[in-house]
Amino acid sequence: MKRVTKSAALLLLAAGLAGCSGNNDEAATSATSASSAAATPAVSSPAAETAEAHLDLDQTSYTLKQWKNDGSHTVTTKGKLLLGDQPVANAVIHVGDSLHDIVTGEDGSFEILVDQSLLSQVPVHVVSLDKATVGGQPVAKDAADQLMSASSYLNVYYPIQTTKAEASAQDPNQVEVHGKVVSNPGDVISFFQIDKYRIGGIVKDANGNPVKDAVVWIDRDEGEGFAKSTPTDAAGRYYMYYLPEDDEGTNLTVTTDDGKNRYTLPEGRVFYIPDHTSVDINITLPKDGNVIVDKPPTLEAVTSPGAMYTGILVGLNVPSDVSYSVTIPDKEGNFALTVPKDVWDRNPTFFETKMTKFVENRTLTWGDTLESSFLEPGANDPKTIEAKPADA
Amino acid sequence: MNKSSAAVGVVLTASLALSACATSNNNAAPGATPSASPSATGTASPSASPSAPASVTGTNFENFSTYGFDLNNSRHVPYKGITADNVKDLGVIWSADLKTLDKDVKNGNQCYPVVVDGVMYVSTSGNQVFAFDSLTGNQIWHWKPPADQAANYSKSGIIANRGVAVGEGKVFTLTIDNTLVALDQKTGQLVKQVPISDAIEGVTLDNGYYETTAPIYYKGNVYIGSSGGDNGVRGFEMAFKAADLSPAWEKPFWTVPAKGQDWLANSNFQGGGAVWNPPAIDTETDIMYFGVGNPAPDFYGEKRPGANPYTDSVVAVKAATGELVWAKQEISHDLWDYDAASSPMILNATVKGQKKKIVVEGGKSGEWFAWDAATGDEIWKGVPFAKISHPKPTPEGVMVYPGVLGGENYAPETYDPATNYVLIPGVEQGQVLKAAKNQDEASTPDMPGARAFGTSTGEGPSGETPYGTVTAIDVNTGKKAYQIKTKDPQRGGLTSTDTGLAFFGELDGKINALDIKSGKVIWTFQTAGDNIQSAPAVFTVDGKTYLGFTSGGTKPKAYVFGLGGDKTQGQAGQANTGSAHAG
Repeated sequence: MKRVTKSAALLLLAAGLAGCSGNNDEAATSATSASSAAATPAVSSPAAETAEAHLDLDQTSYTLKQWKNDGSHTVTTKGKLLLGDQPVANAVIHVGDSLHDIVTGEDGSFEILVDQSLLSQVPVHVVSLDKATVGGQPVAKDAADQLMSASSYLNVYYPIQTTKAEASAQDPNQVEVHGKVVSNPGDVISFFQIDKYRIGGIVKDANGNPVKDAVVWIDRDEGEGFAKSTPTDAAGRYYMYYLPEDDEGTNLTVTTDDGKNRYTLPEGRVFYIPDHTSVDINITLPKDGNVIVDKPPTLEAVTSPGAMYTGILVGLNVPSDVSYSVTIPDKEGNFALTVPKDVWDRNPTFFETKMTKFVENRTLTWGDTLESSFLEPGANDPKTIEAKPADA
Repeated sequence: MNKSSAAVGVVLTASLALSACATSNNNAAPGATPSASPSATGTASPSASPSAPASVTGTNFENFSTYGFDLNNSRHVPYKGITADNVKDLGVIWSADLKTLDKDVKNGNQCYPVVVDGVMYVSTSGNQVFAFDSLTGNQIWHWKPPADQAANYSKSGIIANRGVAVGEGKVFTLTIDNTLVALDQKTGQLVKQVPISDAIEGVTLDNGYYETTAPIYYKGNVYIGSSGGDNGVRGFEMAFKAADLSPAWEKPFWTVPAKGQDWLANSNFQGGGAVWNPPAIDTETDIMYFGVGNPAPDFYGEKRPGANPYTDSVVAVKAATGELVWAKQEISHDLWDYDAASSPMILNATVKGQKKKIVVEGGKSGEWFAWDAATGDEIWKGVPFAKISHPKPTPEGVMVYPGVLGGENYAPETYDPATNYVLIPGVEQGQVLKAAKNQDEASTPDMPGARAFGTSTGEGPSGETPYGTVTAIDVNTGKKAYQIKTKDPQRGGLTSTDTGLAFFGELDGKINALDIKSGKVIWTFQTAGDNIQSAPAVFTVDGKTYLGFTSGGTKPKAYVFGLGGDKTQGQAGQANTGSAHAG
């Protein structure tokens, strides 16, 4: 049983969540000791308002386990909300940003469903004590303040191993670290890859002036599925992100005036969106009628650079002004990191993120090097992963 | 429970009378056309001034209170007022032209009305909701989304809505741009509207999600899925609390892996598997059952190896938590867009000579299935109700049956306990499918800036005339009892009565009564509308049985039919069968 008290939680936060998620056993040890120290005076005190609040979880860190069709990637963790050694009943607990209410039982216990297939680091915290009782009595204000600030964290991540760390041949102030994102046997790490392409372009009226607030939308001629663009800006430019199925006709429609006017291709004509590239489709609307003349210059399509990528990336949990580079993990999860030696010597933790980003100026594949400025971990991504040497 | 006491009815009438004062447009709905009506002595008057209180006609009500009549989705009502003998006397009690009531109502209505205590609730394309007095057609209230939000809908292209749920004094509906709405049942005032993305990150129109389904209310929760499987979304089912629309389940039930995991490890696509029709819920076991859509991409399976669970499946989960109980797949590694689209039904039926609780579902594949409700053990597997020939698509193209519309699309089945028949609404329409070339053979683009692409002539229709079917399956034997042909594909579904009749609409605007035992259509009526793409709600007021339904097309309407109603018929409408974008 891991105990995280108010003071312990603050301590963990102050330490950049260092002990919170890196290693379950270590985190448990440090949290327990902090908790014990803080709780000691409270135990001997009879006054409830001086008792320490504890939000305890049986397990706070989980190895990412990919989706399984038997549902085994979701597990339940048990927890308890206590004031000193007294259970807090009918308190409402939230996990992260979720608005789902988890209500503590008479013995202060509660359960949290953990989806082990998704990267996360989310706080577990008390959001309401309106109906809460301790020993059958409403919670006193001081105790309520303590309980409201009690929290713990749930973490789901791939463990990270380091296989080699050595001075860079090019720059002795840099260290090259070789590491691995460790998945369960048989699981493939979803390396950063193309998610969708961009369809963009300019919509003009018959006089050649850009049309604002037009929406371009495409739908498959033979199957279901569609995409709609952003409304055109003052320059007539629109964007949407789409992954066409190969070699398939698409209906193309432009709407203006909040959908009141619809412009289409001539009857029976479909647009072939090219595979494996982004494309600009520039459209000039007809002066009369609602049929777009489907040849240049009123309908022209040119390939354009860039693609939307998505996948698992790793980085270091260091201040944003620290520059380093890291490669895109391959299918086995191997990556390489080049980082200033003084930064690495301070044992920074890692973050993992499933990132989606449009990249215009280069194509990317596993093994490619990314600058740290490229990486943007999300608010709920695990950021306190402690790498372990591979032979440990 | 679909029957309410007279006392409740009276109380409701009184409260409606009070609350309706607050609404500005509760009477004299311009589009409502009262016809010769047995309820001419009803309390609401079409000529009352707008400030006059509206009240609900009648005192005794037997309801059609949820999408599928009951939570089993049986669509079978115990009401006996309409029989084979008197069905010829059915006529229009009232009808309402929804676009006349509000010009912003969109084409293509697919609403399954819900009728509670004398009020018929109708949602529209474009996400408006109307509450009508079920006997007079007087508009009790009307809700339409704010104009800026509605403008967003028209941009999305697909704007159908299949109805509302009623519970805890509220009416729940989903909007095309993925919000869940709670309206006051008495006044139609907005109680709360929440983006689904508040509970499930990324469920947005921009990401390809959209909502057309009717929500289901059960035990304090509202259950929803979503559309968008073919836009590359990750399908889910989710529960919200009716009280405040906060998440009732901790997590959605995801129907397919996260992108990059399991069978999506090498796919550029998300997995699809949208749950785009309502679940059936067993109130005895608290287990719910829903159908899951096709995997994405639909016709190209190279990068999604294996069976692709739980696409094209019926999934059983605990209604309280969303925890998996069992899942059974109809089509393994689908290459033909064969969603398990329609809502499953829970039946207490005679199977192989013994009473058994089973779950049944007919797929877009043209095959019908039955499983043990508790265990998922197979009872009837792949009983064909449509022409079935679906070779693996080739780059040159192959003809496949059923086409992308099914089989059975979203249109629900009905179950008649007297004959032990399930009636299946079917579509007979083949389609040429071309497989994508494999990735290596696919054309490589020229340098950025190459002007290499443009338009071409699209695939034409197969040349065959599509039609529809109603198939009766004997649940005891798993065999076809009979199949009738209908002029146009069946897109609405059926509702049956304890007098052995099944009512269903057609795309030309006809409404029909089928004698279930004989398989003969014994009554047909051409409405003034067209494209009936939903099934009727059958209900009673003061002991008389009525039929409420909607039609779509370009002139969406709501109707209530009853014995002694106006028999003036309309012109046959033009069927719109072409759109694959059912959901």
